[in-house]
Amino acid sequence: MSNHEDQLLFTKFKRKKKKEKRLVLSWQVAIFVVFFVLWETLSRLHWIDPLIFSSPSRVWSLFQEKIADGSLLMHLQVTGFETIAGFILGTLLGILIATLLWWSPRLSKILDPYLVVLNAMPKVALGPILIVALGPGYVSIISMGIIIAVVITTIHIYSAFREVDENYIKVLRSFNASRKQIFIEAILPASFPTMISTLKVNVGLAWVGVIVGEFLVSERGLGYMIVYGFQVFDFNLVLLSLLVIAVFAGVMYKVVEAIENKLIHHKS
Amino acid sequence: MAFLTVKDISHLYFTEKNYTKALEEISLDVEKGSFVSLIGPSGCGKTTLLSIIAGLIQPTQGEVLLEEEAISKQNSSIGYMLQQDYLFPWKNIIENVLIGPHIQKNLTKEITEQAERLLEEIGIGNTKESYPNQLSGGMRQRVALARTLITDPKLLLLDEPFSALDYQTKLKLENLVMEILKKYDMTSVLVTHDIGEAIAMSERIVLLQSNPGRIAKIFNVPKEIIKLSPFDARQEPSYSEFFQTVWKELESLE
Ligand SMILES: Nc1ncnc2c1ncn2[C@@H]1O[C@H](COP(=O)(O)OP(=O)(O)OP(=O)(O)O)[C@@H](O)[C@H]1O
Ligand SMILES: [Mg+2]
Repeated sequence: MSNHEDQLLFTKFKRKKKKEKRLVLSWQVAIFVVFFVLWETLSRLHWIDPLIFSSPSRVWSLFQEKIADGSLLMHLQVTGFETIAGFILGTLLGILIATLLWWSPRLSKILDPYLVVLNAMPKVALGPILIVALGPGYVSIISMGIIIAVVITTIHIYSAFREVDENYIKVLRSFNASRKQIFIEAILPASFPTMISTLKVNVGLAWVGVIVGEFLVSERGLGYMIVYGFQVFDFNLVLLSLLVIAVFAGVMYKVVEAIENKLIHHKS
Repeated sequence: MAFLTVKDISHLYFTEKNYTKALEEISLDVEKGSFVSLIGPSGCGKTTLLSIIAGLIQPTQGEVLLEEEAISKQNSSIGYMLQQDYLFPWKNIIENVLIGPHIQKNLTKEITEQAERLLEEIGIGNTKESYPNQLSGGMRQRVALARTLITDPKLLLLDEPFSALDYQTKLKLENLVMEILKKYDMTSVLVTHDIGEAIAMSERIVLLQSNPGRIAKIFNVPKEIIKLSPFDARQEPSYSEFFQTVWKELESLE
């Protein structure tokens, strides 16, 4: 086959790829538009109760109002800070505990049943205790985010550490590597993909923890907005918070994905 | 006293429900600068024995001495090339080759240049910046060989190092490895399933039998073959005769 023909095939391949991408994107936009249009129409026609389900236009005007008086930004800032803090601390703590468990196999055997129980337990049930112990402020809310993320992080990452092929360790040990060197050169990089996927799960978990925490503390934040809206029966407010949370959880997820692409460069 | 002494080694693998006797009372002496091959049917414990000699597995019984000192007390590196390449996928080729010096904290400019030259010599000089998943099986095996040689080990343990290579490359590399071994007076133990390779490269051939792994016979390779390079050895008249002897013995085991 001539070079020219190869080039032609390649162009064709690229065109096909592009077409597919455009198709997917247009469907995504279509679903988005249909959803909001449907919501608006059904609400106006009273097919769904506008008092409960509100409508995009009402949420929008409330959004503008809350932006203007600065309160939405304040709530968003509070929740955003708590979520990011809970997410980062929970993940780091999980990695740290997983490292300790890897370091001492005996410790990991001893702690195994406790981890299983902690993992199965609904962590939000600890909320009231946390608030009494740490006071009704952002500390206990962040702790909520941490507690929800940390156990599952520990379990996932520790099992990734253990699944690293024994023979990589053999290679390093043949060079007289210390346990620390084995950890840095083989265990840690081999577990990167798992860490990233855990990070993605943790984005969601940290939001759960923080919103539940704010439900309980009820002072500030998007969780507070939801509870307040519920109490005064203003569901515009509830839906506004929900939409804002959806947008920001999505943004956080995308950031983690960008980090992933940066770190795992050898998988081109 | 020999350079490497393997003394009454027995090894059991334990699992929750069962155990396998992989090796039974293996004893072997290897002189400094000599080359010994291990051959035997699959599963007879060759890799296990090599890992024990490398000090990476603690044998259930017996001991391994290197220059009259227990292998577990050694701090100089033993070059051990595993049966599969186990290159680190997140490191590029040159980083993979230099992992030994990196671990031992003597990653100098000279070593780096030496590694580059070594890659040149084994015919993969242009892959330095590539990652392992971009290389063919044979190329990866050559990288693993370079990684083992670069630390200049006193004792070289090779577990089927040439199994993924085409015949031509294999012959070339056998010659090259022999040259390097001679130059640095290295002592080597090679595991192979290729009788021809064992004859062409080594001075002694240890034949293992399986279940449990035991030494069935030790052959001394004819003097006139030892003198020759691995490539020329294959042309030597006594080569094919000796091949038949080893072959028959191996046949009788399986
Ligand atoms: N980690 C392990 N746990 C349990 N049994 C093992 C383990 N490694 C090896 N064995 C068993 O020990 C025996 C010897 O294995 P070994 O890998 O040493 O054989 P080998 O001679 O190198 O075989 P091959 O030529 O196929 O590489 C086999 O029966 C194998 O099943
Ligand atoms: Mg083997």
